[in-house]
Amino acid sequence: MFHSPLILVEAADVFYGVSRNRFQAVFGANLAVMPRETFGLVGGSGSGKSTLLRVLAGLSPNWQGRIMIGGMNLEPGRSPPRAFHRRVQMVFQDPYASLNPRHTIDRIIADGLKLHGFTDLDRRIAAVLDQVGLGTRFRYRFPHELSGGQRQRVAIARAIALEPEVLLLDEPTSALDASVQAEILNLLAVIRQERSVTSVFVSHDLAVIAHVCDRLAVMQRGRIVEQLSADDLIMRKAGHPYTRELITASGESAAQ
Amino acid sequence: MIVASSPSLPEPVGTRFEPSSRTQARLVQLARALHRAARNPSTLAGSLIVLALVFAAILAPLLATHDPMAQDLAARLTPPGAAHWLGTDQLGRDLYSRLLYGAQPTLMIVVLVVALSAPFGVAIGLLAGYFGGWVEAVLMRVTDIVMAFPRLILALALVAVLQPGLVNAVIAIAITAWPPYARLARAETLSLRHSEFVEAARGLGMPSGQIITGQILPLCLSSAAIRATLDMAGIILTAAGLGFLGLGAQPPMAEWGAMIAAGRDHIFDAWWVAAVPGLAIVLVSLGFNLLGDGLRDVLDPKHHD
Amino acid sequence: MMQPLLQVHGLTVTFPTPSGPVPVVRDFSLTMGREKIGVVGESGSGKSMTARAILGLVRPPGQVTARTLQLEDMDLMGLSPRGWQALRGKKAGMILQDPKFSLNPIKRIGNQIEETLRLHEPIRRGERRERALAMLEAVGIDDPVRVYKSYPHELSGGMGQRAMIAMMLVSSPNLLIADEPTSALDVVVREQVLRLLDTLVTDRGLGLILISHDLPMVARFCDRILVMYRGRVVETLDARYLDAATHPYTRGLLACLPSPATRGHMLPTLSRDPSWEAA
Repeated sequence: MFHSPLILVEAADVFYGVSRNRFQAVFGANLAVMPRETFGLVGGSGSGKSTLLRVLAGLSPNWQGRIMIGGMNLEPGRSPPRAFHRRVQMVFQDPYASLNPRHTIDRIIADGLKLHGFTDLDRRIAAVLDQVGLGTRFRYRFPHELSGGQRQRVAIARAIALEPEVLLLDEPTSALDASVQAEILNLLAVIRQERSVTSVFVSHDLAVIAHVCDRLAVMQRGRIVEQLSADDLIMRKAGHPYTRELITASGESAAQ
Repeated sequence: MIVASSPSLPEPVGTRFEPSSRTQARLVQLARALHRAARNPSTLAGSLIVLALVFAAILAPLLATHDPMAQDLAARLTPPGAAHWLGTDQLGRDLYSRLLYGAQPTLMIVVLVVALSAPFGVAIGLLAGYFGGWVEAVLMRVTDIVMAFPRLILALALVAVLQPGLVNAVIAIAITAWPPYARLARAETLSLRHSEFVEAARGLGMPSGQIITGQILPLCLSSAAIRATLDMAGIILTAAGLGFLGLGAQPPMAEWGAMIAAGRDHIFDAWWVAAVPGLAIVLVSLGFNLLGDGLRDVLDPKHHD
Repeated sequence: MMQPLLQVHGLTVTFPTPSGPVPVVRDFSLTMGREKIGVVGESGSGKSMTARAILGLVRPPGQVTARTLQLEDMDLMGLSPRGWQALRGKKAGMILQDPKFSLNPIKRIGNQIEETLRLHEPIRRGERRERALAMLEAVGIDDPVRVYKSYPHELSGGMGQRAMIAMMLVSSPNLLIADEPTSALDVVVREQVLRLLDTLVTDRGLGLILISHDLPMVARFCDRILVMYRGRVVETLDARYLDAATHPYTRGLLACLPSPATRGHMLPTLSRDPSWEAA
């Protein structure tokens, strides 16, 4: 069966800053992510993986090339229309920083729902809290009253409350303990099963990527050096030396 | 070489009150803040002094023993005693009563100046910090220019142009008082602008105006409130300074600064005329400072939990 | 019998809270020679506080008590603040997570390394410089003269951490405590720094306490592993036989790690048993 990609990135250059201070973070990236696929972006710090993800989330207009998500073209140099954000949602790395400390969990989730004209807020908030395993007793708490794992569940609830087609995950478990990471990865697996959602998962951890993703791209110093399937990764069929270096560095846990 | 980090203590276990609605959640927050405030000695002392000032201003007609304007030249410069608790001035007016009535212009100046300058300054700082670029450059340069003038001198010049009087003193002080708020709010906004929760709000499609007012402003408010409280002491001093120089409240109105000025001629033979309003100014300034310090402990989220 | 390098018995660290003192480390004991010990646990397990307590770095209101706390023949209990200062750097060094925060940002790397030397050894300036340069070379820095003259912000994370290690090793301590020394580093660099630490510790015959949340990583580099949970050591393991772990917490930690083998399956999660804390 043939599908056209849901996310298409062609020759994308991404920059930081302006004029003389301009710094290029991503060079000529090409990606195609199929509907319902989970696609991994792997690389070390400064590889440009998170920068590229922020562009896909419509948070950074400083790029050129062609990016199409779900039939909508992102325009370089401009913030996307609000409707774009309903379809593309992001979960950030640090659950301690991604929730406003002065807002209750209720408000954090309600803000997005209100912006996109959802009705029946009470029922929706209760349902989404339930789905991320938090239950309504957390609803009127503040972020500082929650553990790291619970906060990341709230961040996931905020994203999926809008029923997006694309879920962008920026190292969503790297700030968490191993046992909490397992819980969050399980939650994300359930969400992918229950909702028709396409995701891009950024991580430096090949073991996590091998567990979660169908295919992946390896980035080094702003360039995508290799794209391969998770099966190839596991079978150690990596072609690029940097990928092999990453596999070695992750020890035995990433490959068998 | 070694960086201190606070230990991660085990989370407290046990039953806790679970709010079940937005209003309840807010009330719980308020109750906790009040509880913390009540346990903080400097907040407590500061708020008692400030409350005393507020009561003195409101209840002056009830508490005063004499008419503050009534002259009694036979009893001029009477030392503190049974008839006049704090003595009388050079026109025989009762200092205790004048002190109480003098709380009114003092309080009014403080409230009006903060109400005018703090919101303006915070708004400037938010806009500059959030948008950056030329918006920031223009707004912050203006702020720097205003800040470069010594406060009392600028207020003096303004009052001289606008004509002496209480209202003009308020306007003059307010014009000199906003830049610190702008700097404070800009600094806070800069550190919040790229924080993940602001990114997340943008990722929801939230417009800039709503991000500034809903996401960033609430986090700037507590430091602005602390700053305002600490600032009040300075405002009182500036107002008293203007009064002392005859550019604030006009006679025969009782105003602490003007009262000190009147007592200056008799400082060696009738010390109380200048000392009574002087002590009042010191005490009230101290009160606001204590309250501000205490609020910093109570409101600053870095200092608790 | 040779004297152990470090002896700790019944080390306890408590912090006062409004509802009474809370123990953060409970009854920690360890006797080690010149070997590599891994201390593993999740956040809040007390692993970092244990390291701080061993080097006298717990600040008030934290309270440290122990039946024995002895480095070689030196009793550390009741050491004065000056005594602790003389000990740190000279006899024991500590490497922290992020070199960005543990190096002084306004001093050149060379000066910082020499400062450690000057504090502990009365040697001439020229000799100090030579020792510092030699140390930078020993931590695998190709261009020691450049790094010697650099400020911390001019170095990458991996380079900064190497400089930090150089600074800690220059006065030849016998015990090195590394608290998450690689978790701020890039995956590939992480491996290089760990291998460097391994070589240095083995060649110089130091004792190393490696503190980390990453059980498999610690297992690859250490001889023995102490698993901490809520302030208590729940299991001590031979690093070669992780599979022999018997405590349900250790087994749970190992099982919940994602890997190619777990693809398409739910990961087992840890159900915490209150009895683990009492044990």
